[in-house]
Amino acid sequence: MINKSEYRREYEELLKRSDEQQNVASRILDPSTSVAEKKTVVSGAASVRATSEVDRLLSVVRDRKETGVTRAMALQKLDIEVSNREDIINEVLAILGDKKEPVELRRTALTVLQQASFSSAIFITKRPDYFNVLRSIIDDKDKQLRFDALETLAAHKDEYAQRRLLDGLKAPAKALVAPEKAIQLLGYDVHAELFTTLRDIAENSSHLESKVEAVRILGADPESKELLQKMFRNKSENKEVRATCAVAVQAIDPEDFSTSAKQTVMDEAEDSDIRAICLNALALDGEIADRRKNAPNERSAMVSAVDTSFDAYVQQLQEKAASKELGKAATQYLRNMDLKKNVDKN
Amino acid sequence: MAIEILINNSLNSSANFISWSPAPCRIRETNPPGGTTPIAVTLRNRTTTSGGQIVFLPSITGPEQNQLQLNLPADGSPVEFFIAGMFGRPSVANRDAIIRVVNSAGNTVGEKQLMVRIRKNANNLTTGERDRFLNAFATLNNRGMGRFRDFRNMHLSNTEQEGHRNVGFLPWHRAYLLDLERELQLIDPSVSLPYWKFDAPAPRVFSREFMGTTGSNGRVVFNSSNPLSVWATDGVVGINRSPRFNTSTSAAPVMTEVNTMRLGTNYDQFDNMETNPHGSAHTSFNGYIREIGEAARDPLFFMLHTNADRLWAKWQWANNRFNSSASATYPFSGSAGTSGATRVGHNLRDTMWPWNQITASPRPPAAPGGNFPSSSLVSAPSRMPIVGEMIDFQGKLNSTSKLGFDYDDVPFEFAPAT
Repeated sequence: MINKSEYRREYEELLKRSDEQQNVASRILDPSTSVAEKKTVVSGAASVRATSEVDRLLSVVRDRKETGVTRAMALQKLDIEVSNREDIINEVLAILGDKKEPVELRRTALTVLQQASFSSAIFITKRPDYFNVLRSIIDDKDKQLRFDALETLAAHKDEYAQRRLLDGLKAPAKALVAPEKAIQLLGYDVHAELFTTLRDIAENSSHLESKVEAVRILGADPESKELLQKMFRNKSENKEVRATCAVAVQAIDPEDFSTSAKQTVMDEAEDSDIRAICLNALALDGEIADRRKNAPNERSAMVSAVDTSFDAYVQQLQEKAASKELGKAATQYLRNMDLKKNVDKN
Repeated sequence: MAIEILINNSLNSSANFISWSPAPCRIRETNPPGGTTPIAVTLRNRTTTSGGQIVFLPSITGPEQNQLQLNLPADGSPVEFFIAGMFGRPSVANRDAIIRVVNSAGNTVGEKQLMVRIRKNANNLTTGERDRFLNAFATLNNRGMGRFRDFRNMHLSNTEQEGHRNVGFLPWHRAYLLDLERELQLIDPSVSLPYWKFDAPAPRVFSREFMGTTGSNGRVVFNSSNPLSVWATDGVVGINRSPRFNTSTSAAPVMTEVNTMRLGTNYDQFDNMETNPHGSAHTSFNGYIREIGEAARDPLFFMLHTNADRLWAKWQWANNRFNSSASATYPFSGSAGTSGATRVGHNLRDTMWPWNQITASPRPPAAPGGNFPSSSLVSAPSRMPIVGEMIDFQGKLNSTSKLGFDYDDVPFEFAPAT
């Protein structure tokens, strides 16, 4: 048994031993410490709150004679101040939008502003300014800044960012990010116009990553069901594309999926990961599980017959699966269908 | 002899779960011999080498002991006692904690199986604990069409003011997580929410068997048998998430736990953890988890927040902050609209959306999920909880306030006199 008094005493000692808060600014400015060491220490260190320390770090952030890395580390440790002070938010917004500032500092500026978006009451009033700055940097030469800005705008369904992403998909010379990334970001706002473009990519693109991203999103489009079914059944199609199509079809039409998924699981010439995914999807289909528990005798004769033979097959699969993953999926299926007890008895 | 033991004073098997806080129990002889001579019995753990371990308390104020001697009335009437999980010895599976009842001759006359159910560090879960959690979570989601959708819809851009950017951040998310956990436990009662300890490397969390790994494309990859391999939200398959740190070897770039504790001993100082480590944990990735309105589409988000809640629980324990009427425990003691109050939903006596089902402005226009779910173990919180009901989560000051969860590294201690 852990002695709780001792546990408390040890924890209090641990808190007392920590003196990092007082030393953050000094550590950042210490010329004898390497940048890598500084980054390690600064990462887990306390955010700076004491007024004198805040002022000291702010002067480092503003000092263009300091290196970008040092200024970025100073800004990182001012994150709580950024959340609590409008004047500092304004300064950080200006840094983010200033293409003459070092890229390390601007990346940190974007990160601390994004942190503030979770916690700062002041930030709400600054959000329009934030989005304006983000729009101004989606063409930035720094790939990371470009992507971070686009991601935040896309998550907020920003029409300008969406238009630029779509333009890039249609004309690669205008692309701000790789096509699969553009599709991923457009997926934050699923709608009919987008589906047309995505269906075209899914059917005709030779770029694997783009296809995967397209079919992921088409799970939200009932009109894409047939296309997704076709791609799922096509054994010459890439495995990841097929697996994604399977889950997408289930999202659109679980009944339809159930039939083809069972056929796939029982097809021993099929790829074992595809079979495992299908079995997994069937195991986690709450509607199937509920229906079986609540009304086991109300199923149609056909469904009942299919289920019986399928369940028997899965029981065999559990014992003799073609792969570890398939065996595990079989166990999961049987447990979730409340059949495991029967399996044990038999 | 035939012995009956009721855990949490309930006949219902769904009540056979305890945490570190004392749980009320009753024991009686169900086939009483009659007469007036009481039957002496001793309660202890069946084994001390494996499974969840229990401590016994003669009254709710203790003391905790490894065994307890009781005299059962010969007329079959019950005797009250208390049990708690032994700190540091939680269960790893349902019913692996066993109370053995021994008579004065040393013979076993009864046993009771239960679980010391505790929220644990996700990186340390057993394979069974991990897989049960994943299975329950994916079942709740049910390809994006299940009950999980309510939890996704509680955490959108247009609901963000209810639980963010103000003092109610921690209480609101405590309620949110507890609601989710109770739903998971309806699917599998052995499940509790694990936490992602973001200030330490967690290579087992970021594996294909658990929360997945990420390629350069920003999509999370799972083993084909991982229940999350068929995850979908809003109709979109899979999860967008790219770490900005090495998930195999490094902690996320966040303030350490010790430094989080050192933010201050008053709530309004500690509350800055909403920016760091909480906000920094979110921004240590690209993907869903980086935005309030999208974060709940990623199961990792719930483990991130369970850790934020653990940090609050640990801070409460370290500083004895359970008395909600003390400003150091919570700064806004009134309700919205009264003098000195803050935004509605963030004052101690305000009800919390969506469990209050209020949809009039300034609350969000819809209130998904209904009232707060009840529990077989505890009576708190109420169906429409106020912020203050989230404070005394272990029932230290009032046993009826207990919320029914605990963390593996935050013990229950009887509160010192203040």
